[in-house]
Amino acid sequence: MIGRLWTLYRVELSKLLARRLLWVGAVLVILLALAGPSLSGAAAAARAAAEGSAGGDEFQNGWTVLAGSVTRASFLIWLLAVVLSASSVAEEASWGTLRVICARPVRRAEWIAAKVLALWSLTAAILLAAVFAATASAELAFGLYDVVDPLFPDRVTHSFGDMRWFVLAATGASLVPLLALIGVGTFCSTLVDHPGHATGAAVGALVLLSAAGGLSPGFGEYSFVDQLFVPFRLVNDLANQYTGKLREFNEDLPRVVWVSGLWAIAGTQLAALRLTLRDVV
Amino acid sequence: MSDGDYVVEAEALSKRFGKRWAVRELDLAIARGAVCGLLGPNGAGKSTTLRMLLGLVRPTHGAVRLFGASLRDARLHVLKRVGCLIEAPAFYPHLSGRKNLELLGRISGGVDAARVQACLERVGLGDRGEDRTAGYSTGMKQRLGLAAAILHDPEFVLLDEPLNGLDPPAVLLVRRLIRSLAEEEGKTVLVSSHMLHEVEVTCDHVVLLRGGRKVVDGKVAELIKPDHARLELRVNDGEAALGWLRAQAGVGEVEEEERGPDGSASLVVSLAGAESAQLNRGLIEAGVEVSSLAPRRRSLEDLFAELTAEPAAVGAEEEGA
Ligand SMILES: Nc1ncnc2c1ncn2[C@@H]1O[C@H](COP(=O)(O)OP(=O)(O)OP(=O)(O)O)[C@@H](O)[C@H]1O
Ligand SMILES: [Mg+2]
Repeated sequence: MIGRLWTLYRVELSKLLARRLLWVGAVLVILLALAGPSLSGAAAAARAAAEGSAGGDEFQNGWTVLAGSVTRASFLIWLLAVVLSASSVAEEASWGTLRVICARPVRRAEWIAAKVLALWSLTAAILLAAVFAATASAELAFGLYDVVDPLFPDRVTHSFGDMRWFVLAATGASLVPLLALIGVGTFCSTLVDHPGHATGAAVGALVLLSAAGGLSPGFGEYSFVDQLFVPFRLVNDLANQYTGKLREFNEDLPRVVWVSGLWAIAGTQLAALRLTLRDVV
Repeated sequence: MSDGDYVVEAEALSKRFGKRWAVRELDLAIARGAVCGLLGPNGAGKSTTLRMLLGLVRPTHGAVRLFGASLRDARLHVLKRVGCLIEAPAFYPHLSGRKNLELLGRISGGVDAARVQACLERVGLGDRGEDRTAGYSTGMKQRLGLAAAILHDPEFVLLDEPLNGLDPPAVLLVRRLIRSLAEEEGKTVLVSSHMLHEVEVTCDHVVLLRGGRKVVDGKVAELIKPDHARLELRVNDGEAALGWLRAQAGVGEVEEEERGPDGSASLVVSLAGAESAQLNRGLIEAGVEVSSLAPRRRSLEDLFAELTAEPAAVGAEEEGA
């Protein structure tokens, strides 16, 4: 089974790598991450002007800029993940290649798993590149140091080493909601044989989930859509001196991982089930 | 491995889409090394049958055995030995023809670059392999589809209307390909078609389908022989020819199939004792020019009419019909 999955994974990977959308998306994401300091600077200046105060945001530092850049770039990555996953199976159905693949010695569930994993590895690689680009530009523009209390500059709230760990942990944790997004998108893709409609269905589902999370915070805790934002928002809060956030970080991050992990498994399983049960005509 | 003598065995295979039976109670047995034609008008259930044989469509009733093994239980195993072209050929439009074949080859296993090239050349696409398939013409796609079907050197090849969109040289190429698969490589081939003539020239065995049911199956040589009792005539003066023919004792029914603006006509004559050479001479002596005269080639409709003595209807029967 592992051998078959590996073969299918490599096939799906080469199909994705030949997609222009993926490369255009990757370049835009990295540019957005690199532009983080200027965008954060502009945002801070605008805020200061609105509040009528003179200086910038005294809490702004390299780490808050980094977190902001990654969050902005992530939007684009999620968009890319939704579009590519929601069209993945529907597209094959509309091309007729679904029939070609299913008439080969392929277990449909394994094919779905390979599709999800291939798209996940590529979007995860883009996310890692975005974090790297955001780190580099934050370091160049602001420098990444110990986070200190602005009123008592010799009081270190979070050391450089702590912050580095927070960023690494947040990056790792972000990969799981990304997988959930792809799993759910792929499930939507098995429901309709038209890539545009499937993408519409996936976007609709995400909007509904996010609205439900907004109306009921209790549900939001168990919705991967709400979890997408959590890891780097926590990094931002920590860099912003909210010391109390440390406990939240330690509690919320594991929940992001397991809640989104369950969504990822459910989405992929449902997609596999749906494709296995249907006639391929 | 002992696989039995039959590559395909299907028993009481039926498929219903909604209220419509696409295939009903179909028994099928295809012997190893045979070229079998699945013949039927549009909507007869040919494609649905092929899809059930590949496990793409789940039969409503009945079961399929390939190489003696149940398709349900040993699908992955038996599909390694099967190649197919179902309905229209389909490819990843953003990839080249060669890349498409490479990916399919990886999935099927045991296909290297040389094999991909050999298959491209066999269907006459040796120099177009690098082009994206989005830019292929209909016939080129069909050829690439055939290459994909034989890529992994399968023992059993299913081809659904493989001549769609092909020009005359390509039609010959495909006929030759099918014959050589069977005769030189000992493969078993199942071809679907709605053209009697195609089945006549490529197949040894034929299964006739209509409205999802099997009408008959048997050897092509026995079922589809040219009808020597009926002649097809092309004459310059339809009126005169009709008059003369109808007056002859050895001639049965005479039908006019078509009349041109200049009075020329195509006639179908049933012989009742008369010889074709004799009619030819007689017509010329009566001042009618005969530009062609040949035994009537039967159409699929004729064959159905003969076999079942009722006209063929398009489509499948409704539930409860
Ligand atoms: N996916 C489907 N959903 C509903 N009905 C279908 C489906 N596929 C086939 N049918 C019906 O089943 C019957 C047989 O169709 P099939 O495609 O097998 O015919 P065919 O013999 O291949 O015809 P053709 O020569 O036109 O290709 C038709 O009445 C068709 O409408
Ligand atoms: Mg068909």
